[in-house]
Amino acid sequence: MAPSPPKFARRFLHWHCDPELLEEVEGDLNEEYEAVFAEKGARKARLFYNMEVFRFMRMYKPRKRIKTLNHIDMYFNYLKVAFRNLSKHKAYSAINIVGLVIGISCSFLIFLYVKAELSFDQFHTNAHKIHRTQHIYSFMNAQAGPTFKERYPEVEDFVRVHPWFTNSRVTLADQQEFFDDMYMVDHNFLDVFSFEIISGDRETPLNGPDKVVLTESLAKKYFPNQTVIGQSLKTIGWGNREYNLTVSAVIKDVPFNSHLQFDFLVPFQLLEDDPRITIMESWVNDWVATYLVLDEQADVRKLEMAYDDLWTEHSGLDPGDETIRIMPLDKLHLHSAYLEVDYAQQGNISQVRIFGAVAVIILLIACINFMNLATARASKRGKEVGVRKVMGAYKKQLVIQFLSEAFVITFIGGLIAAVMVYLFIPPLENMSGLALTEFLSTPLALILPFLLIVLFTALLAGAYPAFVLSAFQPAAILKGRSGGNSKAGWLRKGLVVFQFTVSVVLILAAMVAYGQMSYVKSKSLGFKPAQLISMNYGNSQGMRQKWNMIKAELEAMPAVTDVFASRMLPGDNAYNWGYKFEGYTEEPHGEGWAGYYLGPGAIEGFGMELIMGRGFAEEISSDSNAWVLNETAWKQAIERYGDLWKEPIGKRIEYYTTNSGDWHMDKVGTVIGVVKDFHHHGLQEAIEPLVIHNAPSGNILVRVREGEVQSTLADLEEKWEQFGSINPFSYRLIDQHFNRLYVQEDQFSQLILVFCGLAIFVACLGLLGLASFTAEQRIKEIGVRKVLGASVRQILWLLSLSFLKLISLAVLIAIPLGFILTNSWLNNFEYRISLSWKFFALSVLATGIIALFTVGYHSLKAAMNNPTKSLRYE
Amino acid sequence: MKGTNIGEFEELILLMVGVMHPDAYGVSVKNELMQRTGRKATLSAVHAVLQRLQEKGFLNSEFGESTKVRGGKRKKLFRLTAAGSKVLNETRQTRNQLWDEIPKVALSSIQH
Repeated sequence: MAPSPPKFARRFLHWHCDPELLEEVEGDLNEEYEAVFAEKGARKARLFYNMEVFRFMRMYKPRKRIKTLNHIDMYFNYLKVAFRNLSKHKAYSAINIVGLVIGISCSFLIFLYVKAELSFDQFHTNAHKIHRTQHIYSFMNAQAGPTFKERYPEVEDFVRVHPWFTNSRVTLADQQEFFDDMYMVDHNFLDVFSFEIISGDRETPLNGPDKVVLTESLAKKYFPNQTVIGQSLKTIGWGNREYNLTVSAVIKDVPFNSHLQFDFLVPFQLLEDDPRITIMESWVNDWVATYLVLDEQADVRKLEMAYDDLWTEHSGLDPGDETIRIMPLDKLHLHSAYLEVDYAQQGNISQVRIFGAVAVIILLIACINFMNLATARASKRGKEVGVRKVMGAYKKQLVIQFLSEAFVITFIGGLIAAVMVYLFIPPLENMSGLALTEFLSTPLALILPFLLIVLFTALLAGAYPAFVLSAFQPAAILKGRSGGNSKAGWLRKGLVVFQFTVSVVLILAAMVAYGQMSYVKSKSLGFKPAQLISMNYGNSQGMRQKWNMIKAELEAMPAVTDVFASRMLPGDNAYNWGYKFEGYTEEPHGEGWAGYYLGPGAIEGFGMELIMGRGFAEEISSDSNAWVLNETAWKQAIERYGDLWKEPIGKRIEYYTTNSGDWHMDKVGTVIGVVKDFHHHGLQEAIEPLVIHNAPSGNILVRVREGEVQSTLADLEEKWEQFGSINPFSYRLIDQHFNRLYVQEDQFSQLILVFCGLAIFVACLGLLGLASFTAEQRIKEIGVRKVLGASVRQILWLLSLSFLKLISLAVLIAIPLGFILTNSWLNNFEYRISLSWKFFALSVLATGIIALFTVGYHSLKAAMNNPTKSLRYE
Repeated sequence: MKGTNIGEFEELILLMVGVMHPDAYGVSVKNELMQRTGRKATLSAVHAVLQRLQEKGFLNSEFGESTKVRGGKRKKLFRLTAAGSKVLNETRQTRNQLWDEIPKVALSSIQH
């Protein structure tokens, strides 16, 4: 007797063979197999069997199990049943649809936001080849670009950009004045970057020192209803030099998703031709932005390393830390947070990620609601399933039926969500400053992802219930037993725990974010920003001459309590130069310290506190060379230069600067005071040690009495004319100026708060549905209990307990999770709140109360029910 | 007319089924073919042809008794139908007719 034929081959045969032929084929195969075995042995027999099974594939026919039925009618029936169910259980349908609407619209809006953030700088045809180079703390010298191109064949081209002339004054032929943003760029700027030229010189619009390229809207603003090309205009550039320019071309407006933002372009040649600019050849002055076009094989790391040598070669100095970064254009917007200096508005990749996660979470919670309610109500649908199965429905058909129900509900939700999205796009655009739909080339690009989200949601929400419901045993159901629902019950509990874990974490995150932001706002900044108005005078020479007149005029105003001048405002960045403190001898031009510039009376005027000494005074002439240190700087001086500095007043500091590598002493003076630390940056950053110069010009600052800011502003504008400034009247409120440092974080925490609220709301909707269902299902049990003497309170407890257990579990998971997440967010701030137990207690309490109210309402309703009503049919 | 013409191998199998009546099934047809004509065929080839002939209506089939040898699977026994024997007759006649019409000269002048 032969051993049984190879199992795998047999199974394969069973799989591919037409079942009608299977018996004879297998029988014949077995007979032959045994014959071959008897004749030639086991190995040959197995080989024969395998080969034959394979050869029988020729008889493979696609199986037609269900002969043709009229499917269309069946689908109409599914839809009809779906709509009947929707209108029969209005409350459940409402819960599902509201949840799905919120889920879909939130996730789509966030999708648009994420897409807009990711679309930055992608519109350049050369985007993958263009790289920006700069140091972390500074930009590039003007020679690096040309040298790279000359030395390294993989550098195809370079473009230098001088982006510092924002708000440049432009004067037209008819003496009209405008203030717009000017970039000075190499002549190939428009070849490298894909800003489309609409009219004018398409080949060489920037070749020649008298050319200017305008954006479309600027052209319309300057020359309405006129031919733009060939018009002439004047603007002020480097060292107040006047440039006389002729419009050579007009380009399309710079899209919002470009990190380069400008209104008009003038040739870099203007700088090269200017004999007063001594730093053009210098390698130690980093003053322009540089872009390199690299070919695909270029090794970015190698080029970064090469800069060291180039620098040493040309500057003749030690390489030191002359490292540069070469950053691909497509990563500039979101991945530049490490750069200490930048001229472009940066995005924040972690915010993009957090929003993405929130979108998924909200959608998930809405889907879980749908799944939970659908499986919980399964027993109600059980009879329908039983009857359909008895009538000959296949499992597959039932799956399709329940899936199509999920699709109906999701599409209703999707339609409403589409309206919501339409309504919410404009406010969200305002808030984020991104054009959320502009970058999408066609409406299809908007509709397709929306449909995909809806489709995905329907599948996610509908798949599980469809398989649970269709798996019921008809015999069991029709006999009156429910169809073995215990697995679904476990899953349901798991999902509720998940939802509430997420909710607790979200509440916690929202509270911590809110707490941190209000801490930031209320924290003592070291100065008093309220009621301070600053006006930019501009021309410092002129200001010094007229200062006494200006001050007298302003002090005469009744609402004004204080007047002073200052070059810098809190929130401005300090400059690093060489400072040689007394007692330091190692380097001839001292060590790098951050220099800060305040005017006489500014320390008192800003409301900063002095630890010792005094602030700059106008009456003392030697004060123009005096220094004030902040507390941190004083402490560091003691640490670095010895106990000598324990008595800082009267100590000497020499100040060194350089234009082209040759350091020279710029100023020398003595320390007259130490000021208590004040926040010159936002609270994200630590307070730097500051050496404070006396710089009595630039901004005029006025402190006014409370409530009189607006009226004073009007008066100031009237007076501005007689002060003789070259600038038109413009003002800043210092508290707002400082707060702009938090605008991004602030908006972020507000948005997160909104989304957390929505997520919690959706989770509670689900719980509400589940609680009402449980109460309804146990209505008879409750009736019997009441008849037997249970009190309302006992029943309430009984019903709430099962949910309370789940929520406690969720809390246990959520607390450590929430701690990790919020703590890592807070670590972004230099000055942060600590995570006290109050946050955790409050978020747990909040969740508990919300859950209790949702569950309690239905439980109470059930418990108060008159048992005669619930039991009258027994 | 589709279905009324049969190929050479089909004809052979059809003849075998007729010859082996009533014991014609996959393995026996294959073995008999080997013995009588010396032609080797794989089981699946024979099955495919039997199946095709049945679809064309030249054969019909029924299950036989189950035996131990075949792992309990029943044999499917094939039998000629009226159409089957008709198509065999027709091919035979066509051939005979054509044989008769070959001139003697043509046969004797074949050079070996």
